[in-house]
Amino acid sequence: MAKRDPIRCLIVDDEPHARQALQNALARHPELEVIGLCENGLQAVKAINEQHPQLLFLDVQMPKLDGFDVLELVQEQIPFVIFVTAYDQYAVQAFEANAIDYLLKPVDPKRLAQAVEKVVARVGMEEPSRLESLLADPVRERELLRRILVRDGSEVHVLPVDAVMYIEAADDYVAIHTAENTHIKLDRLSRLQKKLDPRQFCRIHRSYLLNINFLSRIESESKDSRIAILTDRRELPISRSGYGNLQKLL
Amino acid sequence: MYPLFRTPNRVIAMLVGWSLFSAGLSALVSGIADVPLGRGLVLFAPTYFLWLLFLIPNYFMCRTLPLDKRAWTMVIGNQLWIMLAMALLWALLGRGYALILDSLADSAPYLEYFSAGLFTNLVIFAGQFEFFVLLHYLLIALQRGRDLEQQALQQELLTSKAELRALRATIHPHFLFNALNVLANITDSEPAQARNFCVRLADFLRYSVAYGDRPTATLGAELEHVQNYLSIERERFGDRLCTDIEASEELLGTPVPSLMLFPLVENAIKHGIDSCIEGGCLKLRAGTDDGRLHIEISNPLDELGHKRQGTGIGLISLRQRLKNRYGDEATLQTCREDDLFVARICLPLRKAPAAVN
Repeated sequence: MAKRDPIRCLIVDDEPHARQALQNALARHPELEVIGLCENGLQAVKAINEQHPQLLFLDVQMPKLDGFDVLELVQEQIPFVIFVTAYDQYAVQAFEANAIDYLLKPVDPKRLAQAVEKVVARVGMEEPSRLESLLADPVRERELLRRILVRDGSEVHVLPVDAVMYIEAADDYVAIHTAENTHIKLDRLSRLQKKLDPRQFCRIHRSYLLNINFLSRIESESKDSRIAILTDRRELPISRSGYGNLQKLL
Repeated sequence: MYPLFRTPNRVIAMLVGWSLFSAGLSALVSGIADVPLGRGLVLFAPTYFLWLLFLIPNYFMCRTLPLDKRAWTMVIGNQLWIMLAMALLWALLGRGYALILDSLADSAPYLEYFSAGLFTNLVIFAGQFEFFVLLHYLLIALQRGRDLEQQALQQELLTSKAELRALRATIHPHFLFNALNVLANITDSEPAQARNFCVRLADFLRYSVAYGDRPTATLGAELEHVQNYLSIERERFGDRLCTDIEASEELLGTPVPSLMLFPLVENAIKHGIDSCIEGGCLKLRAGTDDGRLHIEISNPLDELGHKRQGTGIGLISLRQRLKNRYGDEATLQTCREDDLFVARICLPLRKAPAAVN
């Protein structure tokens, strides 16, 4: 049997002892190679972008970006994910995010061995893209978003939803406009809309979702054509059904 | 509600008793005033029954004239006036009744009979009135005692409820899981540290569990407890957590409600420092000013660092506990100051908190 290259993996955990202990435990599994340790989600996104690991050992509860946020940002770049967490309350969500396994801390060496076996067996087999399944998942994020995560290469921006003026649909992407900047994110406007507060964000057009806090006034050009003037004088078109949505909200 | 009428049985007993009393008294007064017994019964018994209507309202009068809040002379004066007015009213009514009987009946001089018995009756009425006044004040005192007892019970219940919540929050399962994790991770690599960690954890749990038996602690013990907690969390956070605690030596013996500091420090870690990617410094200062103990706890906070915000239950519960012990004399305030979250407690310094338990 031809000896395969070790599977390159990354450990992401905010607790120093936890990283160290997992690294020590993985030393007994030569089929894996730990190529890096990350203290938080931001570091993880950067490392994934630059080092392209095949496997991620991912803690759930971390500051700023939690494990699920990291996956949301790098989903297309990571073949395999094993969640490692002290709590079992995330198990369902983890498997919905297509995790290959879910380990509870403190990690039992036997369970770790089983998880490693699973990964080894699956490596090389072509997996269907997990991108679609994660994006289409209706269960994730039952709560309204307080912030939107966008990634620009290795850099992650955390945008408070209150700072978002409007979101524009562009094919498979959305453009998120704040007063200072525009951020591109791989997502659909309708999906994003569902996760935002409907009392704050109004679909004024097929392609535009407006934060009504930034609406200054509405001007009518003709009977069926209106435009929204934003607080910084930007103008957005309002469709007829969009006008209906706005009226309901205001 | 008149206390002697609180149940139907009492009403019946009262009416029957009073009827017998009226009959008996009629016989007695008839004898004294030299009135034939049968006539006396017809004339006097109904008017005695009327006394009940004169005496019962006195209960409400007594309630508006509490003995401990008004001057004695004023209470006695007022009661005396009322008594005289009632006696006069009764005499007039009785006289009217005698006149009616006079006009109805054949030969008996009821009005004369009534006049003959009037002085005796007034003396007896005065005696009755005094008796009822005393009875009413006694009833009111008993009722007040029961009310106070009930209030104390209610207060105690509130306190223990709040304290139970605090206790439950202390030994949060997530905290124990986290501690066990740390322990599992360091037992092999750093046995000495693991042992020390166990000692700290044991001390921490002991203090938390003993809480029910000891509602009041010293500031020094509270600070030690919080230090134990922080040393456990420091293992988890590594370099992300730094602490800066300062309290002057002479304040360490100050009595404070036990587990007062812990919820604030836990909040600072869980919702504050843990929300910051670089972590931060928890600052605690204890000092005095104007005869009051001031404690300030501050920590950095990244509002977007966590998906969920805290529920604030810990703060509400602590505020309730402080209110139960100190009334309005203690305050707990929280505010944002730039990137910091600040919690301030202010307590009366000299008065030891009343231990409810």
